Amino acid sequence: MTINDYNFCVTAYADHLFRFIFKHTQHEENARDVVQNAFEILWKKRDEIEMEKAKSFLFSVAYKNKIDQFRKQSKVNLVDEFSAQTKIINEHKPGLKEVLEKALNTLPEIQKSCVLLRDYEGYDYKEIGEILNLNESQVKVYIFRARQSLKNYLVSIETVL
Amino acid sequence: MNINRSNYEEYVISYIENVLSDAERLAVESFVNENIDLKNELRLFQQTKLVVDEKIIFANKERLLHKHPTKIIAGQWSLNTWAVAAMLLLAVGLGWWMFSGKLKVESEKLEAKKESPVVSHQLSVQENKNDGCFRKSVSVKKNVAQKVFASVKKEMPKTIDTTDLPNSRRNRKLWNETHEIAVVQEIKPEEIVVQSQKKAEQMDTIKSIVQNSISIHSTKKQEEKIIVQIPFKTNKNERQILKMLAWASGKVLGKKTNNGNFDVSIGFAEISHKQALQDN
Repeated sequence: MTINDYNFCVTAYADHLFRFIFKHTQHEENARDVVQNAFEILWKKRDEIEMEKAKSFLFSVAYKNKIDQFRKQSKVNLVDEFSAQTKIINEHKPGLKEVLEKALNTLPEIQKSCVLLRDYEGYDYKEIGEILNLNESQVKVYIFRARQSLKNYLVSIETVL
Repeated sequence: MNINRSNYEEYVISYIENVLSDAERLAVESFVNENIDLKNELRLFQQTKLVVDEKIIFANKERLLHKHPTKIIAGQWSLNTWAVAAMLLLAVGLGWWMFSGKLKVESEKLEAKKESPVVSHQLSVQENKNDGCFRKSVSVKKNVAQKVFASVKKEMPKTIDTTDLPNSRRNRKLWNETHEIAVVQEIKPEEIVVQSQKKAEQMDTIKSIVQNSISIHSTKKQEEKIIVQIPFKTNKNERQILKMLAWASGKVLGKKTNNGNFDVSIGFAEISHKQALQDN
């Protein structure tokens, strides 16, 4: 990978990567740290990584980093923070996007990751499996369960509204 | 493919995931059309497809970019590069200054050495009366050389051809009458090479005359050449020296130029050895 290739990755994938991580962390600075770290690793290993694999490499590195960060943060009680956000959202009539956002946050991390990579980045099951270190069947199951959960959440919201 | 109410979710999800073949898609659509209540299910599943939130962006992503290695182009040097260049120039300048200062000191030492007191003395050339020749005294004042010698420039040596030097005083007299010498009018302090194809004793004679008549910076014998540095500038003294050299060696060809030829066209006054002696 040349310097130009690397810079192209920054231009083309930084937003995607940040979006993917931010959807998990809901914390901008943490997400930025994860993205920067991923690109630092990509730069260090640019001689080993082919351009075609760069994007999935970035997502894979960022996902692992996110997991580590999540484990550290799990020791901190964030319940109050999420409750506050939920309260704010509930103060007005939510649109589909907001409802879906909230539904997404109810999913297990692995299901959320699978759905995000599927819908945001258009990866197929095999590619998602490579990024998340899963096999193709596992990815299919996680996505299946995620869709069911999201649909059920939408049904519940429709019922309430 | 058998779609029923117990497995329809799998097919519907696969349908919205767009992983079914065309036939399977048609089968799902047909099943949903047959079961009106499942149309809403299909709509809800379709709504689970996440839409990219374009508002979420990584700000200042240019900070992650890496620049190409800097090419050294004049005008685009970094501050560090200019600093290194300035240091280099300073070091070279300082080195040159110190070196030139050392040269100057050595030059001054050399000048001081060269400007040693010059004693005016007299050269007496005595001819054997029995030979019926002449007796002449040649006086050479050499205090002139003091200041001149400081500006010695090493040039091509002057050459005095003594090939046909007479080997006896009688013959020399006869030779003197037939040979002429070219006198350099403006001779600068420099080396004069006295060449001789004769024996060493003749060279010693020349050497002796020169040593006794002028202030000699260095006189050394190199094979059949005697190199004499004449620290004279005035026409009078250089004429004296050249006359003596002409007398001793037989002939002075003139000033040797850089290309090895003798310059006798400009600035030379041809006088006979005899005339030279008569002048004294």
